[in-house]
Amino acid sequence: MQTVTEILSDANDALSLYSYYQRLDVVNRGAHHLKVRIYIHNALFVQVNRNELASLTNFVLIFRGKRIYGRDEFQGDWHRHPESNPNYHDTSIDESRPVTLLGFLKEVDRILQNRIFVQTTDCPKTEGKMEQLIQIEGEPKSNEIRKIAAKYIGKGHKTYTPTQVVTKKAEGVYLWNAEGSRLIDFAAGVLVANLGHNHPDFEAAYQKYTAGMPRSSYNTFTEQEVYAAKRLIEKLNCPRLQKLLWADSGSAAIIKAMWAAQHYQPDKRIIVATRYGFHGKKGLAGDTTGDKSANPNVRFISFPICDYCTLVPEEKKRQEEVCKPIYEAELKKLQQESPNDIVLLITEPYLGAHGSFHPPKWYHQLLNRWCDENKVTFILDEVQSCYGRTGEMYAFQKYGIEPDIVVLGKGLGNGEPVAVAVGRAEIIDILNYGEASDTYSGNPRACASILAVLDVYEKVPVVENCRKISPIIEAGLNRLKNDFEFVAFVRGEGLVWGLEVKADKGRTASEIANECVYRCYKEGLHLMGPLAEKVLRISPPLIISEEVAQEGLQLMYNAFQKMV
Amino acid sequence: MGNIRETLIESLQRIEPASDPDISLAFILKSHALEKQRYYRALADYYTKRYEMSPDQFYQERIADKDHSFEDEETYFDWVTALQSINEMEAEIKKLEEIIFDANGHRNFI
Repeated sequence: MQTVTEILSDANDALSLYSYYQRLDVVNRGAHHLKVRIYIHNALFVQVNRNELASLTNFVLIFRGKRIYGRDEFQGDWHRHPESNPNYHDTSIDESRPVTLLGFLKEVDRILQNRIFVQTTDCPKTEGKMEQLIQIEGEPKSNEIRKIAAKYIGKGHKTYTPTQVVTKKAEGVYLWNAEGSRLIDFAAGVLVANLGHNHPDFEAAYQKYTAGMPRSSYNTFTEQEVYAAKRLIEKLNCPRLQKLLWADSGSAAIIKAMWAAQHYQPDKRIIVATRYGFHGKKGLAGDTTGDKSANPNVRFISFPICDYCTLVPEEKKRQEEVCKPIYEAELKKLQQESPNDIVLLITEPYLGAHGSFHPPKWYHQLLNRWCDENKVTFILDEVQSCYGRTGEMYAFQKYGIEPDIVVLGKGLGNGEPVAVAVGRAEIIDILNYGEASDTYSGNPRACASILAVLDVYEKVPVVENCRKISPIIEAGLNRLKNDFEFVAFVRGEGLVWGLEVKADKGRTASEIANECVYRCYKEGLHLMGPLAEKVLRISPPLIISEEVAQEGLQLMYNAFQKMV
Repeated sequence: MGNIRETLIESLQRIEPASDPDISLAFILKSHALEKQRYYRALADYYTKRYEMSPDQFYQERIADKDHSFEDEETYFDWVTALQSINEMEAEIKKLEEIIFDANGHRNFI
């Protein structure tokens, strides 16, 4: 029979052989015994017990605390616990042969496929068409620009979008390409242009605040900077959010927030991040993005991905009662594994880049309370959600939480590269002169954009408009789901929606998603490249009117009809 | 790896300056082994108190040649593993004590 070393090697191999296994947890290991869990998600995992000296082996597939399939060895004799009756002890000749862990996992794979666990929990990576030079028939001017771009700009600079739109002009919720064709913008940059493009009030205010200003103000203050800070913090209106650090990108602000938290509690090492979040690509922001980290101090915890949940409808009605204890147990285990060693927890209001997953309120409230109880700095990444995207000015208001630090970006400057980490003064102030400085952060033009945005929000009911348009978008997307077989899920809030497509008629989900983006473009609607390769992001500027929202949805409908 | 070893030795010398690094390491490992032994003993005592029988009896009564629950199967595994680990830790502690203490039972120092 396999040694503990061989079993551990098989368990590690499983992570690369089967994409649905998310992580390996060694619960207990001695010279001759081993207990490991290979997780698909919190409630569904394979547990392996092996004791060489006692000749004991248990391979078990566990779902919500119950065995649903297993194979065991007791002192050399094997038996099977069949899926149809998992407590039954089948010792027939066929079922009493020894199995290796990889052999068992092959059996598990078949069970998961049959029970549709895998299709619903796995987000396989599918290769889209990733050639750099895109040429679209009938677009000679755009094609010329695309050719020059392909020659001089590294493709790593952009995320893949099959349309590679060449924008010649922009106004309000519209873009025009090099051919002069008008497009409704359902992307708003990447949820940046909340006020649309060239908003007259914003542009006038921006001109006013930047007139006569220096290009840079490194090591000096300008009125723009200090009044932007004052107004921004007053607007937040949250007792914990008292002082800020500027940054020139969302990920830079995230990193500064984490530096402050680390300096604030220097004896603690462990950084907790919610799995599949996106906080950026650089440094600590990259370390806490996704579900794997090269940083040994990073631990990931589960984030609700409710569309993929395997609860039956009756249980879904009691979601908080059923699911909350699972998340609580995970946090408790984390605290037990690293007592008094957890320095910070970072999360985002909803999973954006992973495909628009929006959690129940109690989830964030649970994290907030756990951080408070365990003296863990709670950092909320609102780079994307801030300034009304969810239907409230800030998502922390919507979710009823009070982070120790909140990070704002994107809509903050309506397109100017500016971001900020705002938090408790005692945490922010822990960083000394120069420890969070850089060349461009807090420059006059960035701060002017913050003031100009705040001016517009005081004059125009931006957030109220978002709340008004939200149900229109939801209804339009649900119409697509009802009428087109390849649409799997619709999820979102405010004006940040995801429409997930699935494989259909021999085409992969990724192929369909890319074709949707392309066909929408041909109809006159701009979408960004799919999230997680199969989720269309619908995130128009927050000032979009009801008529244009309806028109954009109709263009989507027309485009989808051509794909059937 | 060379650097890690050097760092560890330097660290041991700083933390336990009066002791040879090998002896310090043995001392630390012994503390760890004692801690693990305490954990396994508490686990084994818990099962003995709860079921009022030996693990062999538990196996015969609740698992052998009959349908059984996953909970019982795991209890048996954890129980047997705990008892076995108590003895394994005992053997480790003895080996480490031979390094730590001289023939008169005094701790070795430089």
